[in-house]
Amino acid sequence: MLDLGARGRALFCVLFFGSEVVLVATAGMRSDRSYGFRMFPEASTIVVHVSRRLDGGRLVPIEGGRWQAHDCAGGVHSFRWGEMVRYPAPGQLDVPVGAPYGVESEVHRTRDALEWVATHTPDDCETRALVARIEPRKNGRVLDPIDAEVGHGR
Amino acid sequence: MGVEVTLRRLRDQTGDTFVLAVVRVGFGLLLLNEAWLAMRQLSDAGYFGGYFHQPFLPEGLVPSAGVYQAVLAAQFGAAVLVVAGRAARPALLVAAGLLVYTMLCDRLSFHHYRHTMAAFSTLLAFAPCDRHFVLGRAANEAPGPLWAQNAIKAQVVVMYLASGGSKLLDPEWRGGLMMLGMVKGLSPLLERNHLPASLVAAMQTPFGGSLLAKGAIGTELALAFLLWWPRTRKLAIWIGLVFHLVISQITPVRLFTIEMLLVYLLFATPDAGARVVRYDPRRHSFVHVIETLDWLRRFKLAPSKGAAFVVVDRDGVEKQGLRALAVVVGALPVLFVGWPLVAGLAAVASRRRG
Repeated sequence: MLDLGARGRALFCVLFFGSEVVLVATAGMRSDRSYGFRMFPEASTIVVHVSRRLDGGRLVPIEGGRWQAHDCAGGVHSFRWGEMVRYPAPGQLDVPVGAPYGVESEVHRTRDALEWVATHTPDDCETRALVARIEPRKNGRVLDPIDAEVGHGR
Repeated sequence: MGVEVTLRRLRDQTGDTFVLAVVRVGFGLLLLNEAWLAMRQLSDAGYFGGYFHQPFLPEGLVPSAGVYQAVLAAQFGAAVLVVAGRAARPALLVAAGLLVYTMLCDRLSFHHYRHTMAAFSTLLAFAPCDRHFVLGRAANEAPGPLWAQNAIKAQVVVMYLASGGSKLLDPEWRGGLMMLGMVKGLSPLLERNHLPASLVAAMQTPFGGSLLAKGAIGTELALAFLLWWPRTRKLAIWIGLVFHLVISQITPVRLFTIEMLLVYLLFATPDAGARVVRYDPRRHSFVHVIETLDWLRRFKLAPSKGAAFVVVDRDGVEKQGLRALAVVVGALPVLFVGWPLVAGLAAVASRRRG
């Protein structure tokens, strides 16, 4: 099956390299530019600060990547950001983390991570939303901060 | 017309398959390493689905913890088969498929070297890479079809064009800003790799960053073409070798470097035994070094009592001294990095004599 004849070889190459050309051409449409052979696209970092929005809209920053909250029955639970979000996603808060696939990729990862944490902490009955402030630095240049907010998924 | 003839020639070419087997074993070991890394991550950090992951596929297609263990076991088994040479070609396809599948299950596990490994493994599966180094089976010396080997070489071109092209189109990249930032970030690694402090400092100046950027873009785009032209191929292989070795020294991308150096072997002209070494076995014991390092089987050894050390190059010209050494260094992969130096010295020496 793997020993192709003349027509099979041509067809295989058209399919294989045709797919590659499509992947390379559309890499810019994916936040991480994956499958486009864009090696070392940026030397960038981001700093992620996450806060919890509580009842009444009050914002409480998550410090040291940890917070405590009550569940709906009144029990106290501890949560650690770094246990739920790990490298190469921004697993550390309030410190610069590398963005090897670019700022856009790391911002995308942060938004998705926020959503994941919001939907995987059912024992946190206090937090109404998770709010992130992302401070990107692209190739050494400081960019405007980006804000993201995700409602808690209880 | 010329293009059609060239494409037909690349499609129908046959030749020695020994180097393909060398590359297969190399990729088998890399796939084995990949399975081991994934198993280690599973035991250290736990199942990736238990914490934040970013699937390309619908969540329903992401394996459960138990199924993921089976996937890793299959990856491991396929890699062993690739190394052993038994069912190696289907195993290469399976290993590549599983690699892509796991990357699609979690975008966080995407790396260029994994994508590259999957692409090369897929193409290698269609090449007769299972005729040598097969556990429990004698080698098959018959020539085999080389179209898939040519496809691997074309893949290298696609990679260089995509990588170099994207950098060229990015003003911050071609201007050197990215290089400047990267060198600053990697300076501890550079110092650990014993690069002189003055060189690291020079690389961190705007001029140094700009020079590095233009050099990288120019090298990638040039290699895409020079590797294919017979007249420039050997020099291009050397430039590419140095380029990838330098990258592996200044960035943490060793696995990618190994992959590229493995496929570079496929650019060498498949001419097993085209060069002859005549020597006296009693006086020229260093010939064992040539025999050991001749991974591409490019030399035939012709021992003869009392003979002078002579290398007959593939064009039939007999060479001695530095010129013979240049042929040897230019044909042995592990010594190849020194080829321009030895060839240059040989050229100077023969000009002085001439």
